[in-house]
Amino acid sequence: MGEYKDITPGKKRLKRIYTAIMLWFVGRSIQAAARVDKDIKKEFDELPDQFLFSLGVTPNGPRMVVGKDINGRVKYMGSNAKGKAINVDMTIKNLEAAILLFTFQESTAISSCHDRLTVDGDIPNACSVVRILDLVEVYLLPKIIAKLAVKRYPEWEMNRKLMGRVQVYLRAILGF
Amino acid sequence: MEESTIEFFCPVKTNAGKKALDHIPIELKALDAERPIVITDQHTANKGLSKYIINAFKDSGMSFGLFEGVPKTADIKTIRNISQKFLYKGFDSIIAMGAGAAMDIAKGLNMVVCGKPGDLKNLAGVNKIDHRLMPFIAVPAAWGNGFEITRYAFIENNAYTSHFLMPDLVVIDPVLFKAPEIQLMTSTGMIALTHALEACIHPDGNEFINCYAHSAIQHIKACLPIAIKQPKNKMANMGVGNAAALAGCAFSNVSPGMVHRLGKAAGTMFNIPSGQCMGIILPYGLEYQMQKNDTCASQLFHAIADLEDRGKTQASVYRQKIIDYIKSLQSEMASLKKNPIPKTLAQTDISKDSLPAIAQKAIDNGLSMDKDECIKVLTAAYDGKSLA
Repeated sequence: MGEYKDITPGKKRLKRIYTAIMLWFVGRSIQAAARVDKDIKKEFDELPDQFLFSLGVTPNGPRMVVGKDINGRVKYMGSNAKGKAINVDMTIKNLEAAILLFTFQESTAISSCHDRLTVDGDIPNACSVVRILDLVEVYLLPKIIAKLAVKRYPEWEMNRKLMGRVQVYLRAILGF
Repeated sequence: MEESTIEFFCPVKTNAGKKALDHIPIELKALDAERPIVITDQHTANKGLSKYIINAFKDSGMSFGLFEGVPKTADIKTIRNISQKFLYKGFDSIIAMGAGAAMDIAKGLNMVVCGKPGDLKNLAGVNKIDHRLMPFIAVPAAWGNGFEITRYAFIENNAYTSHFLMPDLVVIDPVLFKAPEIQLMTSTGMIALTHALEACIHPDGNEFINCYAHSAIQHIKACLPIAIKQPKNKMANMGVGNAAALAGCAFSNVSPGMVHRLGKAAGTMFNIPSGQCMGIILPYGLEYQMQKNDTCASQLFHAIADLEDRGKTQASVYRQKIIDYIKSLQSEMASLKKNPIPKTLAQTDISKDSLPAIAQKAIDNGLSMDKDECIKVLTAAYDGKSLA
C-alpha cells in the first residue's frame, strides 16, 4: 500500500478573504442602495415585514445577512446567520463558484443555471432578491463589467447612475 | 401502435462542466457521506491529475484517503488491500478517478466493503447484488473506456453486472480532459458510438434508451472530429466525455451487442484499446445486422442523420449512408499525421489466423451468434471490405 496517502486538503485563504470582503461590501451596498434607489426600495417594500435574506458559501464559508429591521429599514445584519429567522437563504455550493460569481465571470442567473447556487425559501421572494442584487451591481460596477454580472443591463439616465453610484459608495463605506 | 411494456433505469446524477469537481464535497454530503477514499490509476497519477481532486476538497472541511496504485487490470489482491484500509480508516464513500481498472477496482471495493471479503467471487454474474452499496462517485478522464457509468465491472476473469454498481454521481470536468493521448481519446469516442448505435437496434431498446443513445451519437458527431484534430480543445474533449456518459446510460439498459463483444475480445487478446477494435469492426458489424434485420437501417439512420437529411433521403440508401458515415470517421482518424488510427484489423497487431480465436472468445463471453458468421464479420473488418 505504498501508493496510499491520507490527505488533509488545506484552505483557499486568499479566495476566502476576497469573497468575505465582497459579501461584506455588497451587504452594506444593499443597505445603502435601498435608501438611494426607488426601484430597490420598492422591491424591499413588497417583501414581508422583517424579511431576512442570506447569501453565503457552504460549508462554513463567508456569509452576509441583509433584511428589514423592526422599523422596516433595510440593514446589513452582519456575517452570521445563526439564530436569525432567514426567509431566503441563498447558498453558493463552493468557494470556486463564489469566485466565478464575485469576479463577475458568471452572473447570478447563469450561476444558478449552472447549478452553483441553492435557494431555500419562497421563489417570488428569491426572485426579488436576485433583482435587488442585479440593481446593486449596476451601481457598484462599471458598465463593461456589470453587463457580465447582470441578466439585463438597465437603460438609466446618466444622472441616476452617477449620482446614485456616488451615494451608494459613500454610504456603503461609511455605513449609513 | 403496438402496446408494449418497457423498462429504463438510470439512477446516475451527472455534474458536467467548468469547476464540476468542486461540487464533489457538497454532493457527498447530500449522499450522507463525509469521508471518502479516492482511487486512481497510475496513468492518471502520473499525469498529475490527483492535484485537481485535492484542490476540490480544499475548504470543504473533509479529509480523504488517496490510493494511486491501481494496476492496469483490476485484480482481487488490490481490492483486498484497499478494503482493509477502507474498513480500518472508517471511510464511508468511494470516488474513482481515471478510467478502466480504477473504476472496476472501485466497484469491486464497493461490493467487498458492503458484504464479506470472500463474497466477491460469489457476486460474479448477473444481478447477484441484492442491496444498495456505499455512495460511489465516478470521475472519468479523457481516456475512459465507456464503462465508468455502466452497471458492469470486470475483475480478473469475472464480469459483474448489477444496477447497484452504477455510480451515484458522475463528474465530468474539463480539467481532466486536457490534451489526452489521441489513441485513447478516439477509443473512448468509438466505444461510446458503438454502445449508442448498438443500443438503438437492440431488441430490448425503447424510447428512453433511444433518447440517451441518440444524444450520445449527436455529441460524438459534433465533437469527436474536433477532438482528434485539436487535442487541446477541452470543450470538444468534454463533449466526447459527455457522449461516453450518455452512451453508458443507454448501454446499461441493454445487453452488450455484437460489435462490443467482438471488439472487446480482440482488444483483450491483443492488448489493443478495445474502442479501437470496436471502431474498426463497427461498420461491418452494423452492415451484418442491417442485412439480417431491415428495420435496423431505419433506426440507425434516424439516430445518425440530421433532421434535414432524414427528410430528403430515400430509405433504400439508409444502409449505405450509415456505413459511409462511420467509414468517413475512420478515414479522418486514419489520416492523422501523428499516431494514425488503424482502419482495418490488418493494420493492427492482429493476425488473420487469430480471427477464429477472437470469435470463440466473444462467444465464450456471451455473444449468441454463429461462429462462422462472427468470422465473416471479422474477416471483412480485417480486409476492410464490405460483407459479401
